[in-house]
Parts: sequence; C-alpha cells; structure tokens
Amino acid sequence: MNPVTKFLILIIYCILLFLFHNIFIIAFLCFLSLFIFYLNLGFSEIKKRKLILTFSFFILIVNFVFLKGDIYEKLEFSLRMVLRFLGIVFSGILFSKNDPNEFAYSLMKIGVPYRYGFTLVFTFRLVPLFDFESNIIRKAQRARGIELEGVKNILNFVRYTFFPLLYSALERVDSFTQSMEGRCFGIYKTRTFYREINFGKKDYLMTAAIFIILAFSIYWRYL
Amino acid sequence: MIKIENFSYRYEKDWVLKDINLEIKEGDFVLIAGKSGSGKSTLALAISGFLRGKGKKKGNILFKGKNTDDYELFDLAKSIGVVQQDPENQICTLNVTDELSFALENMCLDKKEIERRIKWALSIVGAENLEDRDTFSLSGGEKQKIAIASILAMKPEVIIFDEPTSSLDPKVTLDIFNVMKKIRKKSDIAVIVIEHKWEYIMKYVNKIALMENGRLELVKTLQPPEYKKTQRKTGKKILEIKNLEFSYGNRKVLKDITFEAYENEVIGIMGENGTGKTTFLMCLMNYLDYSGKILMNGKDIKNKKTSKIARDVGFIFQNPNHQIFESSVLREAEFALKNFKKEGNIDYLLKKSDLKKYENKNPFRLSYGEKRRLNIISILSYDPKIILLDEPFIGQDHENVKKIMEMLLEKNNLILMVLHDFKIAESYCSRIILFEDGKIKILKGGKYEPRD
Repeated sequence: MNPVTKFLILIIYCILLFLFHNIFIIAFLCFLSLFIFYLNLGFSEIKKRKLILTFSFFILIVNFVFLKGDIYEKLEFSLRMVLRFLGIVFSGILFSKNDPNEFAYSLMKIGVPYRYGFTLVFTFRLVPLFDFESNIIRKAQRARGIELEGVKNILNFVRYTFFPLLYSALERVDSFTQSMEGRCFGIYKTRTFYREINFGKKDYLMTAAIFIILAFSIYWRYL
Repeated sequence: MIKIENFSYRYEKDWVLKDINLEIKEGDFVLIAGKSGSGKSTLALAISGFLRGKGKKKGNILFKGKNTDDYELFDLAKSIGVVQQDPENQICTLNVTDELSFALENMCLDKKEIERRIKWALSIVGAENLEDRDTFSLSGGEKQKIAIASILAMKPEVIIFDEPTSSLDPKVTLDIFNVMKKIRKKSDIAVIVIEHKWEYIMKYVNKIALMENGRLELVKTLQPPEYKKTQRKTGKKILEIKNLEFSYGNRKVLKDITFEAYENEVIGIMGENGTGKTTFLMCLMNYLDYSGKILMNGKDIKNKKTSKIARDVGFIFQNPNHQIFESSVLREAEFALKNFKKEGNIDYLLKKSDLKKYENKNPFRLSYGEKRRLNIISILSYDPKIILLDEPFIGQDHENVKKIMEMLLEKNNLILMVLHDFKIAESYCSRIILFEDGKIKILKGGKYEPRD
C-alpha cells in the first residue's frame, strides 16, 4: 500500500476516535488498532511497549482522581481517554521503517512541489543524526564532570546541550547546501523521478472506502 | 581545461590564497598537499564556484577558456564535482538509489539514462551490492563510495576530492584511493585530490602541488613527515581489565578482553572501523553496561558515576564540536577544572597550545585544529592519570599532531588512543592493541604493518 494511503487512513482513524463518544465504538476502534499491531508484530512486541501501557494506566488514574462527578461518569470518561490514547499510539504501526521516505516521494509524485517534498526527506535524514549527536554531547558533558539530571539542572542542560548541537548543525547545513547545489538541486521548476511510486487499484479502493466510512460516521453521529 | 591565473582570495582581512597559478588538463591526476589552514579547501571551493559572492578576489579561474564566474553555478556544478570530507554531510536522502539518482533527477534526465548512469557509477566505485540499501545502515567507507558515485553519475569533467578519507581506516582509505585510480583509468575525468595521507596516492598522480600559507608550488615529490620517537619510563600499574565483554542487543562487540596498563605508557588502539575500539573506550568511562572487571588504581569502577570517574580519566571524543560548551576559549579551557574543583595552570596550557591570543574568542570560531588543541587542554588542566582519546588526529596535519603529542606527554599519565596512522603509532606508542572482531591482540613496541 502507498504511504499516502496509509497516512490518510491514519488521519481518518484518529478523527473517528474523537468523533464518537460511545465507549463501545471507541473500544472497538482501539481493539482494531491493537489487532493490526498484533498481526504485524505479535504479542511480545505489545508487551515490550511497557512505557506506553504504564502511561495509559497513569492517564486512567489521574483522570479518575481529579475529575468531578459520579463514579460511572468518571470511569467512562477516563476509559475513553485511555482507549483513544492506546488507539492512536498503536495505529502508528501502519507506518514501517521505509515509509517516511516513500511518503515524501509519493507526495511529490501527486503534485506537492519538490522543494517541500525534500524538506521532508531532509528532516527524516537529520533526525537520527541529531539523536546520535545529542547522545555524544551528553556523554561529553559527563566526561567534563557535569551530570545534568533533575529539574534543577534544566537550564544548564539546555545551555550545554543546545549550543554544541546548534553549532554542529550549522556546519552540517553548510555542507548539505554545498552538496545539493553541487548536484543541481533547484535548477529547474520540475524534476524527474527515478523511483517507481505505485498508487494502484488497492490504494484507490482503500482511499474510497475510508472516506465512505468517514462520511457515514459523520452522518450517523450528527444527522 | 582549468586554468588558474594569479588568483588571490580573502574572506576577511588576510589573504587566504595568494597569487596561485595552476593548469589542469583533461585526464590529469593532481595531488594537493599542505598543512591545515594553508588554503587547500578554499582553493577547492574557488575552483568549483562556491566562493562567488563572498569575500574579495584578484586574478582569474578559467574553465574551458571562460571565467568560472560567468557560468551559471549549476552549469559549473555539472562539470566540476566535489566530494567532501565527511560523507555524512553529503548524503541527502535515505536510500542509496535515491541518492545516486538525486543529481540526475534534478538535471531532468529520463529514466533509462538515469538507470544506465547509476549502473556505470556503481561499477566504477565497486558498490553494486549496495543498490537500494538504507543510507543510514552503510559503513563510513560505503557511504563515501556512494557519495563518490553520486557525483560520478553526473559525468563531470573534473572531480575534486577534499580530504575524502580522513575518517576512514587504512584498509578503506586504500579502497577509496583505488576508486580514484579506477576513475582515472576508465574515464577522461580529471581528478584533483586534497589529502593529508598522500603517501600511497603520490605514486599515481602526474602533478603534485604543495600549498603553504596560501601559496601553491608545483613539486616533484613530497617529504614524508618525521616524528621524534618518544618513549617514557614505565611506572606502576594503574589499569587492569579482566574478561571485559559488551553486546549491543544480540551482537557481541567486545569479547573477553583481558589487559593491563602502566603509568607513562602510550597505547595505540588500532584495527578496522566497527571492530569495537570506540566501544572499548566507552566501557572504561562506564558509559556502557559492560560485564567483566575494570580496575583503575586497584578500584572497581563498575558502580561509579561517569562524572566521578572523569576526575581521574580524561576523555577526548572524535568530533571537537561535540565537546565545547563555553562561550570563550578561556572559560572553555577551565570548564572541566572548575567542575572538578581542582587546581591547575590554565595560562601555561593556553600559551603552550598557542591559544593564548584567542583567550576571549568564541571557541566555536576557532579552526578545526585549534579546537582540537582546546579539547586537549581542557582535559590536561586537571591532570587526569589516564587519558583516553578516540581518533584525535582526524583531519589534523603533522604539525598539529606533534604539538598535541608533546602536550600530552608532558605529565605522568597513561594514554590510550584510537588511531589509524602507523607512523604516529610507531613513533609514540609503547604497545598497540589490535582489534579484530571484538577480540584483541597485543603488539609490543608499537610496530604494526597492515597486510593487504
């Protein structure tokens, strides 16, 4: 399936989650998302997402404790929040590792100007680099005798992490610009694409189906 | 094809390039050597047209008889390609095939032509097996090959390599040099290579240019650098490692390493990239959750915080930018010293490292070599008994290497450094730990020659 189709499905799925208030429908949607996750990665991967599961439990408790009203209302409201949260988080599985890149190329293929498309590609390119660098910078801080943990140190943390990161990024941007200009980026209004992007029958069908579901849901909910 | 006539250039006040004359013909293979800051990279930028609109210049650079300033930048880019130092900053996409077609798509070539050129470029650099891989999963050498291929695919008339091997191990460096030779053999493309490690490639070029202080001179041959052989008298045992092991997930990176080291030793850590050298150093700082025992001065470090271990162990990371935190050179130099609340003579170190004159300058604006020296004094200031260095000599010229070593050897300490340069290792190291697939071999006397 084309990543653009997946993206549409994801967006509409999230809209649906918030469109309905009926807890059974939300539970069904959440279950759907978990089920797809399970089909793709298996149960052990769900168990590995401990942080998410703990956090959702936390949402439940906090909502329950701080809300006013009678106990059933409180419980229903909290459960709704948790189910929506889990639904959104686990529906992320729709996007696999290679998809961000293909997503960007697909957008360009369906008419998004290539300059914007490549902004997205570079973002995906830079995120792991930033991650890698900030990791090293934090190690270097400790090697110079500063352990920046806790709320108290947040200012110093920003100062001693942000500037090395910023400087390194500026240097990189210089190199990247040279690399792109050196390879004729932006020379013409349009460019050709070597990569095959398929937007096949399946994609059209899925897109149509998901929009019909959305239209039907809105009709059901509001009219 | 390229003719540089009395060319001078300055960014600010001082002339960086002075009165340069050089002619490059079709099929030439030119080596440009010289110290850091001698103007080599600026010359590369000037030839490829990236200096236009900045700074001041005198004289001309002609490409095919026409001033390079009169070309559209893109037309020049199609003819003169540049391979930069760090492929990580050159690869713009997430997939090898996208990367190789990037320039060709921008040039609006059709699919058939793009396919033909990708095949050709990959065959020249010998990376057919990498097609369609994620760029993030490639090794340093593979990345550089893809960066070269992506330039090659444009079928330029000149390719300038700006220190393309500085972060690569000796074996991969040789690979890249062989790619250059192959480009020369299989095409009419002229190759200009800027290199510190010119000893191997010198035999194959037909022109050698030496740059000094902004001036360029054609020479017949270059003199290999000489380092003064320095050995210190070994002291007491301060580091003991027993059965050290470490894994990333299921991949065992360090396998049963046992090893002792003494005060005043200089130990070189060598081996191909990806064999566990950096991981080994990281364990000594307790950055990673290793198994086995590491004793420093007889004390186990397993339950100590890194920031506590660092009082006795200085660590220099690969990239100087990642370990500069303060806003002036002086404050950066005393940063660690103040954190540890120790006493030290910063003024002496600043003078010794020739950084005294920049005391109030922003350290990020120093040159690459100066930043490296600043990293070194920030460690030396509090006189740690063990100093760990992860490839400290990347992109450093011989003069700077000498200066750094002289500073490091002044005090009594144990030095462990990851490095790739055999000459440096032979001159300064008492022993070499050779990493092969996570295991170590210890070589006495610092002598180690790689086999091909």
